[in-house]
Amino acid sequence: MEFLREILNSAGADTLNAFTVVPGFGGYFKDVKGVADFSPQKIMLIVGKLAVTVVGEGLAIGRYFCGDLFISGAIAGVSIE
Amino acid sequence: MNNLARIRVTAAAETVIKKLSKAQIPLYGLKKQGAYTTFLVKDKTVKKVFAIFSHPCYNVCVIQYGALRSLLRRAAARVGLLVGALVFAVVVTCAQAFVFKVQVVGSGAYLSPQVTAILCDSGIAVGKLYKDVDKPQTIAKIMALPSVTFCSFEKRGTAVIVDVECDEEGSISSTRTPLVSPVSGEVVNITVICGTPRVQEGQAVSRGDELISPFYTDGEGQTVGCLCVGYVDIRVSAVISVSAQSEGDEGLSSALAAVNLYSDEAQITSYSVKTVAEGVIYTVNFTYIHTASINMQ
Repeated sequence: MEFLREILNSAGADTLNAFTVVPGFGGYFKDVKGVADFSPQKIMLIVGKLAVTVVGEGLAIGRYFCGDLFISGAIAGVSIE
Repeated sequence: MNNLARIRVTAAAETVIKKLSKAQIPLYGLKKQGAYTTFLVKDKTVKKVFAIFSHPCYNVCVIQYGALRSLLRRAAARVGLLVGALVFAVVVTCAQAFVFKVQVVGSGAYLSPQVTAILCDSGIAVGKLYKDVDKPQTIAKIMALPSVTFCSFEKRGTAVIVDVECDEEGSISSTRTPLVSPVSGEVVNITVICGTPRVQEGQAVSRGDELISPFYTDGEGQTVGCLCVGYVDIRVSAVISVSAQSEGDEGLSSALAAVNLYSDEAQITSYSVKTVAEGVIYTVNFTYIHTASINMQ
């Protein structure tokens, strides 16, 4: 994990506000302020001042508490606007 | 996840997430199902969720409670059934401590009345609480029955199963007649293995008196016929007269020796000598123990 963090830091990634996606299983998102849009095909998250859009199939919110959010389902893509 | 309740509400998923997030309520498994949004929350936060969606525009309901709470609710709804099952379990458990059947098996099954009587004396009877009995003594009593060669018993559930095996040749000689006194005297000892004693120690009996009757009284007070098994020691008083040519040690010894013909353990109580024309006559008073028995092997 330390090696991964070093790589992400050198790449300019903010690991404190990062997200992790496991193909076919779901994704874990930090610091989620809210959900702007929700459907089994698309979930739009409010992360700080950004809008993170998750698209895929059979999406559902597996857990959400204190900004930590887990989306279950087959995530096809994540876009940040 | 066992203590999670599934809730359904007619609201947008975004609204649900926003409201629950604001109330710091952990949210699980949120799904969109048509006009409804379903999600899981911990059982203890269900009231809070209902308070959040208390406005009439939200139609909120619990689809399924957590496993523990569901179990308790089901149990509460079926309290009569549970009480009945509990009572049944208690009754069955208690019933195991009672004897509802005494069954004699084996080649000695024909001795069932006698065996039942012996068990009854030992405290094992139908309808009574099964208690620890002196098993060796009870078995010894059963073994004393005529032609019995093997005996064992055990409790299986609510039944006491007695296995009695007999020597078939010996079974022919058994009799169901009462034991009557063959002599007159005083009862010194009475041992009844099966049957009902009619006399007690110290009681005077005459020849022909009934000593043991071939029946017993069961736990319900009913008389049940059975084989007589037992023996009675009777002290008999007797007198013997022995003639001798002259009074002396030889004549006395001869008279006392004649007493031993009745019993080796005869006790001489007194004697007297009477002179007659032909010599003398010794009259000896003595007692001896006569044992009368029936069906003792």
